[in-house]
Amino acid sequence: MKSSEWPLVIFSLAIQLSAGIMVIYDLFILFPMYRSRVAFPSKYHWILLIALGAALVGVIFSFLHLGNPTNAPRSLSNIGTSWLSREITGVLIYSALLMGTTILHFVMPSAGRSLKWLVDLTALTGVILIFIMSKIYMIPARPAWNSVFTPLGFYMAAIVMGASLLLLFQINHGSWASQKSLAILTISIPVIQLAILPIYMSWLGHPDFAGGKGLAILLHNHLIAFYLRLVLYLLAIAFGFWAFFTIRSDTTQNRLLFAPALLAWASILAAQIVDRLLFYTQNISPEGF
Amino acid sequence: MSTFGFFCDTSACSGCKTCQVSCKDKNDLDAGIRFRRVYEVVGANWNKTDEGAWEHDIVAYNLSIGCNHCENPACVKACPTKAMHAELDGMILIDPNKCIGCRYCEWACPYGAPQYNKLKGIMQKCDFCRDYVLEGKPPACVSSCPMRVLEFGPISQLIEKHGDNRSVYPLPDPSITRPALFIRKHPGAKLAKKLNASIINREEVKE
Amino acid sequence: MGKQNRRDFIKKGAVAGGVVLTSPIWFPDALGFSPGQAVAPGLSQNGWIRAGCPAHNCGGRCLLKLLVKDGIITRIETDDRPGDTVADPQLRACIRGRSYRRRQYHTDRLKTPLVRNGKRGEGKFREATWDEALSIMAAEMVRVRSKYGNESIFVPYGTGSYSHLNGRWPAARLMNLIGGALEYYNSYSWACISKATPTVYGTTTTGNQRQDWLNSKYILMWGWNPAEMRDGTNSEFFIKKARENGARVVCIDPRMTFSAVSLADEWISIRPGTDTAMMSAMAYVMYKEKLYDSDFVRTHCVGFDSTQMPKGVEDEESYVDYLLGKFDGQEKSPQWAAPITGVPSETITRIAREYATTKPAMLYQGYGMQRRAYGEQPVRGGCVLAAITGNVGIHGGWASGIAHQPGGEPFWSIFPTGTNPVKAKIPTFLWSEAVTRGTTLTAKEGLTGVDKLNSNIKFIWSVASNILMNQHGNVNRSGRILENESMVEFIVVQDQFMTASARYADLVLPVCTHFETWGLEDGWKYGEEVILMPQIVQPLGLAKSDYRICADLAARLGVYEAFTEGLDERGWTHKLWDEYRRTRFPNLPPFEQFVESNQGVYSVPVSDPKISFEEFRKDPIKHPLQTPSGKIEIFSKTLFDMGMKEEIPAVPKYIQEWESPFGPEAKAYPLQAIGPHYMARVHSTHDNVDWLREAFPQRVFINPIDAKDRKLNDGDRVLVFNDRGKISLPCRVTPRIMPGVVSIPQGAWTKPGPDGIDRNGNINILSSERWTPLAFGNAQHTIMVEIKRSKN
Ligand code: SF4
Ligand code: SF4
Repeated sequence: MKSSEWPLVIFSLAIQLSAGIMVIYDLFILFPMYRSRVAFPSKYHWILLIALGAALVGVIFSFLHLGNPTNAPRSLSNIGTSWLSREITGVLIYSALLMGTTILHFVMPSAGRSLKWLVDLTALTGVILIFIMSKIYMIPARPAWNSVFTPLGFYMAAIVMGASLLLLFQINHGSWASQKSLAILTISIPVIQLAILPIYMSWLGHPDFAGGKGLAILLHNHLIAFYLRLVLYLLAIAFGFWAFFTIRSDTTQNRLLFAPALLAWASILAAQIVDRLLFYTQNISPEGF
Repeated sequence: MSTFGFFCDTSACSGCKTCQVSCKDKNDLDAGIRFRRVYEVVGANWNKTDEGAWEHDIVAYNLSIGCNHCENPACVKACPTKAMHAELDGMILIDPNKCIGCRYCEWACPYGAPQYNKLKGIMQKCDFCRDYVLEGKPPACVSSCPMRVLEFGPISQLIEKHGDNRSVYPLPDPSITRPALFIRKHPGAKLAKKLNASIINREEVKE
Repeated sequence: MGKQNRRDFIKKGAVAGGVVLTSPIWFPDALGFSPGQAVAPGLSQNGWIRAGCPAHNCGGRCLLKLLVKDGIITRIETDDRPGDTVADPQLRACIRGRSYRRRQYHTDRLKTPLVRNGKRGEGKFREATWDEALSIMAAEMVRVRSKYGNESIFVPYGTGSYSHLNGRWPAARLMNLIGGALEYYNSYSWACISKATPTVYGTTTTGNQRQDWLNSKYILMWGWNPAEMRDGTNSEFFIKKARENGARVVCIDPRMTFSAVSLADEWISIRPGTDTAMMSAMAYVMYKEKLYDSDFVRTHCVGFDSTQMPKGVEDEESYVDYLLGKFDGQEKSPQWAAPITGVPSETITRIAREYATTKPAMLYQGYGMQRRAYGEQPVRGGCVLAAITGNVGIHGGWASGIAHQPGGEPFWSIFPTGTNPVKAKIPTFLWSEAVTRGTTLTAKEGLTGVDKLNSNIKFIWSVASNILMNQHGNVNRSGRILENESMVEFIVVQDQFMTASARYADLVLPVCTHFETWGLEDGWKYGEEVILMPQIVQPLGLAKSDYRICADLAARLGVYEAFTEGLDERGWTHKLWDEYRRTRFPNLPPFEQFVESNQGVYSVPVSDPKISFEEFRKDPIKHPLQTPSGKIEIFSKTLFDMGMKEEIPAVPKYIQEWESPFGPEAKAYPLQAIGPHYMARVHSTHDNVDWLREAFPQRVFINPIDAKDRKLNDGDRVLVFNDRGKISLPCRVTPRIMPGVVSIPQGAWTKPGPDGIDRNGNINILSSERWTPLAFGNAQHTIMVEIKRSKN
């Protein structure tokens, strides 16, 4: 698909993937262990590395999107009013926290349990960061972005990308319960996204909204991508179900989970990429200015 | 906050784009970068009559727009580097040494004023011909207009002469940014809205 | 900038800020500021220099202010004389003048003479020195002259350059000194209107000075589009002022032009080529409802009804007879006209009433509708409407027709070209006939001065002209003719760029721009001004002025002294300046003083506009017209006596065009195509200027209804075609053109792709070489086409 916004697509998805991993990891893996007071197995630290990698990819692509990257440090100078400035600051803080957390977990593996607050903090920063990211798009000049659908979409993307990845990661270690809940997330988010779609589209196509230009762009210029996204959602749901039904309390049988979890994760990632590309096509001033 | 403004008489702008080009000449802009753009708003219904003739409801007018140096500038708020800033005299300028080319001001401006310069990797836009204004000359576009429909001056005087109307269909709600842009409405503006008129020369105003 | 800048402003603000806030606002009528560092024109000067816009025969003549730095033009502004009143308005340049730097410094400028070294038209050339180039040219000219005679040499019509010294005039002068060349009459612009207007009024001076428009209460802009074509700098501005004065303005045009958009209260869409049908129906309404000025008709006109027919033709068809269908059985009612014109009958009736009853009223006819089959008819029809409503010879009225200003026709060129020893003249549009079958041409094809030509055209010297392969009808045909080296044996083109015509030359000579030589211009059709065009920069490469090229050639042909009279370009400009002082502008300051002043323009304010026919109106007996009857000839006995009443009727009639939506040709080619003037160009000049292409890209404009029928979306590349050729270009879907009509702005350069199909949208690939019956004028707008989506 032709789009001049590829750097932004990759940047935003990478950051959201990273934050999604942290949130899911924190809530669905660490939290149950924390409550049952078991020690955190150090093999989970690798998840942090993946999240950190995603965040760094995001940072790199945020630079690629600039016309004049040499001046990039100046972008921190307007947190007073600029959501973009806040976002960049947020990305830096988040990445730093994540890096700190990761390093600590690797240098003091046994102290993992006592470092949970650091994971909490990083995840919370991620949640705030996603909100800041969505605020960038919520501007009157871009009405197709200026709605609750934007943060909703970003949060769902983060959760589903995080959940499906961790489901894959957990094949040989996760508890039966956490696997089940991750599979449910993997299924239900695409279901919700599908359910919201008609509402979103009818809002976008409302004649008061500059004659439904946003919708027209979706349906006329990007119909193939539009259908592709639908198919990918359905695939994700199907693979999600497949994965769900292969989850056994006996974790030795988890080898069966590998194929459906991988397929679910891949289709979800693809769906989110297409979704994000379509999101950027809504970069319109409906009046045409 | 803003001291100066533009006036455009949309009832008489011919759409000749002399303003656009005089601006490009003044600012040495390559094709593709338009500090001033002329939007062609057209709405119509065509019907064949029983006699075999054609009837139309049609309305068309032109809107010449540079940067409105808004009193509540969305671009300034959006800019992460403060490259986009308001001068003490209210003019909104871009500091090329600070701009990082993130193009966020381009999204934030409801009027399409900030223009991306690919070669330089930064944004540029109309600066009211600040150098001319400081010399006591009007901006290049204003003195170029063969129809004499563009004016420039202190906001208070523009309001006194033309009233405080800052929009005409389909310009955005002026409450968003408080543009220092004063407009004489084309008499067909109401009909334009009814006919759902739109900007039909998109390729001429956008890349 | 930043802080530094802010401090700057505060500092300057103390000075400039005071001016800003206390001086009157910068409204256009209060532009009284100092011109900055003005310097007298001359080379190696830095600063602002005022000069006439090169114009290239657009309809305007404007003033430019050029900022020159180290021999380079770095910025262009326009007239900034304080005041800007209706009597003496600023001559503000249009988009073309303002973008001139992109033409002046275009990388494609021709910088050296070129000699063809491929097949003709292939576009292969080698560089040559001036010496070699001019020797070749002189030798060829001498050879052709001695073999075929001077009648075989032709310097075609061309309007690419207008500064007296640049353009075809020096070439004409040189030819006249060496035995002459085949002459032409007429133009591609005004063939029918300049021929037909005198058949009604006995003169072409039928207009009023433009300031008089402000006295009008009703203005019909009939196919007239001053906002885009600039029919005189400021014409659109005067109409705006007339409206402010209370005039109602109605535009009748197949397109909702920029003039219709910005100047008119109402736009009436009319099918091209049917104007005379609507005019007739309007006259019918006026007659039936007795709204016409019967007194004026009785005292000032002939041929309106059977009571005032000229002697000897008392029983022939009068105008009223035609309207009532006494001879042809068809009443010319609005109901008759509606399906022909596409204008609803109620609208025709209403406009007839409005025009007949609002006094005074103007019917201003544009020139596009007379570049059509039977283009003479709407001209006469418009004149007749003006006459029967009594709008002739009064303030605020308008006699219609070509409407030159009283007090002198447009001067255009006062450069003395001398007299042509060759007496033969052809209508300019028939040059391709004179190439292919010149010796068979007769008076029937408009040949004058001789009964027969001794030779076909064998040598073409094309100066500042793109007629050959771009602007003449049926370009593919022209190509076939010119390719054949046994027909025209030598072709020289003088230009600034490798145009389509230059590609067909044997010799291409590089010409400098107006900024690189001296010259002067006056207002075009309108305007009481003289504008100086001083040389302000050096010519690019080896380019020379047209005058210098001719002088150098004159030296080779042994007439240097006679040609130059010892003067260079500046000297001639001085001489012509003095000529103006002696004749039209007695108060013009002396040349040197004017040059020194860097004033650029001299203008005579018009506060008491002159009008045509004032005396005739008062007393038609004492001040008769120069028509045979001395009156306004609604019925022209002269035309009647030509005995071709089907094609040249004695009263203006609607005649179905030879290519029309009502003929069998419409089956294959159902769309009428028109080629209006475009803001991006003056004819074919400026087509390569990027700022203009950005602002006004070349497109075929099509109504959404026609687009839908053909499944076309805005921006799709389409093929426009008929039997004569094909062009491929993107379409613009716009309701600003009526269904059934497409518009392809004229003047785009022919640029064939590998398959021979033009990719740039030159409408003349589709237009025809057929001429009009009376004026032998071009009918290039009368064409039918079809459109479909194009693959490449
Ligand atoms: S120069 Fe004047 S008339 Fe022409 S487009 Fe600009 S504002 Fe309109
Ligand atoms: S109207 Fe003609 S003379 Fe005036 S600026 Fe335009 S091109 Fe030049």
